Amino acid sequence: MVRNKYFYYLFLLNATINLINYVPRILITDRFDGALMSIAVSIPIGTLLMFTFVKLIQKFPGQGLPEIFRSVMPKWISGVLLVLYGFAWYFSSVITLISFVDITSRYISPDVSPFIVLSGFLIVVALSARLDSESILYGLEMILYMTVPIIAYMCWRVFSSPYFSWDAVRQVITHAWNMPNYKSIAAATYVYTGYINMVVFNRIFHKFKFRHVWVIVVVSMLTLLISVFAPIGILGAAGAGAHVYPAFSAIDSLRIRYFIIERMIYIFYVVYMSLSLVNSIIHWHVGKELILGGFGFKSDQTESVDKKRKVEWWVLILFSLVVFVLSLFINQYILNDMAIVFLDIRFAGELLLIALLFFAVWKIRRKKA
Amino acid sequence: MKVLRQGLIYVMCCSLLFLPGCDFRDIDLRLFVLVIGVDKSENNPDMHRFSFKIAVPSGDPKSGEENSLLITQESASVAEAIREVKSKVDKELDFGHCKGIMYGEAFARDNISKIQDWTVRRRDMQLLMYPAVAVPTAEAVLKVQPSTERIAGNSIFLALSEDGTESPFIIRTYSFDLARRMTEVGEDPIMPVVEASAEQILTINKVALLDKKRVKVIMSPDETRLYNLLYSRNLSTNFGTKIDGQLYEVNTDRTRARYNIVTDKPGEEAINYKIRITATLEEKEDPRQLEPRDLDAIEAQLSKEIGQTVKKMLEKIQKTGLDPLGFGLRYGGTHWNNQTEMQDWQAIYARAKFNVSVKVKIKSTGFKR
Amino acid sequence: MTRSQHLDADRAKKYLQEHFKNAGDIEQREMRNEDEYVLLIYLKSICDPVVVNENLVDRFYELKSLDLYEQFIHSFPSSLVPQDEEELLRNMLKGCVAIFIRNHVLLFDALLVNAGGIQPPSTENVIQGPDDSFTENIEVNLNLIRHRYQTANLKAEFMTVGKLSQTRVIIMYDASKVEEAVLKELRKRLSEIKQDIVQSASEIEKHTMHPRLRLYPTLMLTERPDRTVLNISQGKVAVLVDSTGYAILLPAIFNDFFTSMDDKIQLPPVGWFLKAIRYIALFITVLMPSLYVAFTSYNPEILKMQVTLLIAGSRATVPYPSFFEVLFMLLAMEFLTEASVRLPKAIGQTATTVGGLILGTAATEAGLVSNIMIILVSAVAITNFVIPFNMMSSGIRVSKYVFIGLATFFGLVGIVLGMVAMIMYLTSLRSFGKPYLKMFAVDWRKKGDHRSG
Repeated sequence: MVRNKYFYYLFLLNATINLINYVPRILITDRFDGALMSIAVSIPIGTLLMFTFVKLIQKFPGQGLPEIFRSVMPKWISGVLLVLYGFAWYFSSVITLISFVDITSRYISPDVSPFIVLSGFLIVVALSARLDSESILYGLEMILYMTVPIIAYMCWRVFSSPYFSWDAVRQVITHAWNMPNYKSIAAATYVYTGYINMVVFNRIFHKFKFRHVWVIVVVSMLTLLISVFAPIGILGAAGAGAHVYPAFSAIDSLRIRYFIIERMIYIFYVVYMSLSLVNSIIHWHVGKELILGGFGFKSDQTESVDKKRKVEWWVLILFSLVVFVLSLFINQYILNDMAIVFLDIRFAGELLLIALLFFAVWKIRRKKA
Repeated sequence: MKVLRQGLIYVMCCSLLFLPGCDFRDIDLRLFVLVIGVDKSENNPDMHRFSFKIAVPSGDPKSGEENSLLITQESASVAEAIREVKSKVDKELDFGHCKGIMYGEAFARDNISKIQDWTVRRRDMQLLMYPAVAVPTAEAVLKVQPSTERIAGNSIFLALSEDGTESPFIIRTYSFDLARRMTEVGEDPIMPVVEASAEQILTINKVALLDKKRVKVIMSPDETRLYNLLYSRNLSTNFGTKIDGQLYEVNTDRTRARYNIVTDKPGEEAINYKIRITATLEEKEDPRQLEPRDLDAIEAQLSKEIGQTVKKMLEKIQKTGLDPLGFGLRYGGTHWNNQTEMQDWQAIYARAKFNVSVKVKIKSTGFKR
Repeated sequence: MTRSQHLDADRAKKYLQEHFKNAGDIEQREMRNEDEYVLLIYLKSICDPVVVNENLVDRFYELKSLDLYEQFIHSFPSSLVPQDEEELLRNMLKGCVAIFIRNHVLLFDALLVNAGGIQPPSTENVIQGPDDSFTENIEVNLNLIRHRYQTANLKAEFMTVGKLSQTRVIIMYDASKVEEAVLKELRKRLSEIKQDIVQSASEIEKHTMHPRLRLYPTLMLTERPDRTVLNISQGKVAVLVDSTGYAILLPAIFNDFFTSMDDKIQLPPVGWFLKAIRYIALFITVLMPSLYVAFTSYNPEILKMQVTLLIAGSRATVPYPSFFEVLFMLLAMEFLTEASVRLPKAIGQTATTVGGLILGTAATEAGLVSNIMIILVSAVAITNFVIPFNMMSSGIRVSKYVFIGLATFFGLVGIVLGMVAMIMYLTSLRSFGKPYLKMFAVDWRKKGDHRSG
């Protein structure tokens, strides 16, 4: 049983990951076409989605999505839904992993073949995803406490840099009145998506309560604004759109004067690699649990646990193979398109998930009555 | 389960066998290119003359005999030049520590955008490079080896960064800043000018103003200092004035320049500069002790003179049509008519007036009264 | 005699004679007083002759009647009446004297304890603190703990482990603070030990922990009574094992192994500082060699230019790749460490001087190893010994090679991978149900003794 704070960690992980991945790229592409308005719109939407989801999942203490679906739906419908959700959730980690391998071979190890790097990533992620949910959360906490202060320092450095152009930021702000679009909203609401992990982790929460919503609102707003404005201030209102990884290019512009390492980008890289790994571990764990739940493996009886542990390997091997095969023929354009498609589907899927949970609550109430 | 685990271990061991096939190149097998110079070729107009300054580390770090190697290569493109240089050296070229790019004057007056794009695009080039215009040629500048230099090429970086000398004539800029200014609408690039003035001395006391891709104007040292007063905060420099034929020199402690653009009445647009300087009296010819009202007189005199020279400098820049201080971006950032604002600005900038108000405050007169 | 007597004295005598046929240290002593007759049989080697003479021989001749003598023996709480021959034999092997009075058989505990005096701790030194450590005698150890923790809540449960060695084990805990689940689990695991001979506390450690193969200790071995008492007061369980100078403390989490008793003795800010130092040392000793490999072979662009050129210059003469250089020097250091443990104390100093100074200098002069490498190896060696517990520092000693391997194959990426994997591995470990590595595992809100330990 873990305490409430781990819910906030799950959220924070997703929010910090959001600073580098595809989300800023999408928002910056749309910086003159409604990105800011989309951010403004997505904050209430995201908070509301999260709030509703949490309220609904509180009705099922100690249960994960597989248990909930199983109790209210026919076996095959819940199976299909769970497998779909599992794969969708796993897919977000595919994009994270592949883009991180790309970043690695770009900035850190051009000498090492990307497939070797990828297999290193996959071994760590797959083996760690097999751990129990509680251990994963402890690991997450540990890594967040090590990295978030460094991220905060880097943000401060970006915004206090004498080369940070506030005029460029203002120039973008004057484009705020453009209409928001679905793509940007879907990207911006991704900050909040950490709560989805609760579909599995809810099993180990003890009397889960959701308080301090304002913290979530403030943190998400900050991350969104930082993820957009930090690259714009450093790389320019016009220039920011020209970079493949705006966050990395922005951080590459920071110099540490009094340290053995001169370029901030390497520290940033280490920080974000650990975060990406943990993020992938959690997504694989959730995806794996959902898929196994979809095939009817329960995690509470001892004899089925043994069998589940065996099948688990096959799921994880499948996961790894998919990543491997995808990374063979994906270039950065396909990756970007994939990210956009994923974000769009994800947003719709989230809405559907909440609707399904509403249905579950309604059904259970009717059963009781 | 056991079989599976053994299989996995087997696969992992096998994959380890492939690993040493990757490039494993030790630090002593690499040559670090520290500065790149680009010049126009004298014989062939399509070719460029590239110079690479390479550090040769010596076995004994205490001896201070850091040698460097200068290789020049004529070629049509940088990539080609590097390949050709690689066949002239025994070790692998590494650009990870390339910290400077010198554009020869003739080349810079033509078009730097191709090379500049390469420095931003190439993965191992940092965005923290120091770009500069080299006079007379980049090769001549790279040949200079000041006797104070302990590490090859280091003297240029020390001078161009904030680490070493603090000259008010040196404009500090990085390649990300250059890249931003080259794409930003309403802000034009600048670069310091490095001059090989004697065999062992590099003079850096001018700034070159560029339109988006070529050097248009090179300012005189005095103008450069005034430009720097507007460009950076807390510039430490000196200003002199003569009252009744007696010379007074002050040393600035804190400086701050702010401006706003007044567009209340069409046709009478103005850019109002407010400069605050806190200074210490450093030199005076008059042997008698100073009274407070003498200080007031010096302050007033200095304020007036600096104001006039700054205004003259700004008007000179205005006449070239360049915008190195980013007035246009500020205008764009404060106006919401995004479609038309830049056309408006073109007209406004041509006719805008400069009002410069300087406030010099002499805080102390040093150790003597 | 109210108790029922199952054991027939003659049969018992015969049984003993049969079993002790070739035992040279068996002593039979017949005592006659007029028509009264008593036979004492005991093992000379483990029975205290003074106790036997004073309590059994002298009394026999002093006391008037045999009944009185029997009652006198019964009055000792450690004397007992064996129910069968096996019990008789077992207790005799433990140091009891068998007394045959008429057709009764009695046992009298006369164990001879040959324990050294209490000595200062040898592996867990502190600067200012108590200078006693556990001895090989479990009774003395019990005494050391009782003396420091004077409450009736301190419970001591006796058990024996090992089929042949019959090692005595005492489970000690504070009944008001201990977690019942931990205790239950411990009892279960101790009773599951199948080994014939259990001679040291670390053997128990090895046999009780899951998973068997692991790099970091999840039980703490200590030789300091003050640490044991502190941990008992924090709700942990101490297991005292006879004939070893160590106690086992459990559950032990990662943080416990970075706590020295010094932290309590020093002022709190100093204590925090010391602890921070140990964690920094942990990072340096694990990561420094692998970072060197990564920086010199894969990512020379990461370090400052000046540092890079320094390394490149000092490595100019080294004829092999960086990971080999690191391994070479680290192994040399490991050999030195191992050698200085085995060597007699008088030579130990010389060995380290010769090895450390002369080998290092000569290797650099010869150009086989870079200067920076020597600095690095000594930094690694020193920081490794900052970690107060030998078991933990050995685990860390091994894990740095894992990191070197990762750095050799992946560069910096490998190190980050290894760090994440290690954090995940450590968080997945449990010590008797307690998460091994966890942020804020120590409850800071509780003041006083409840802090780390």
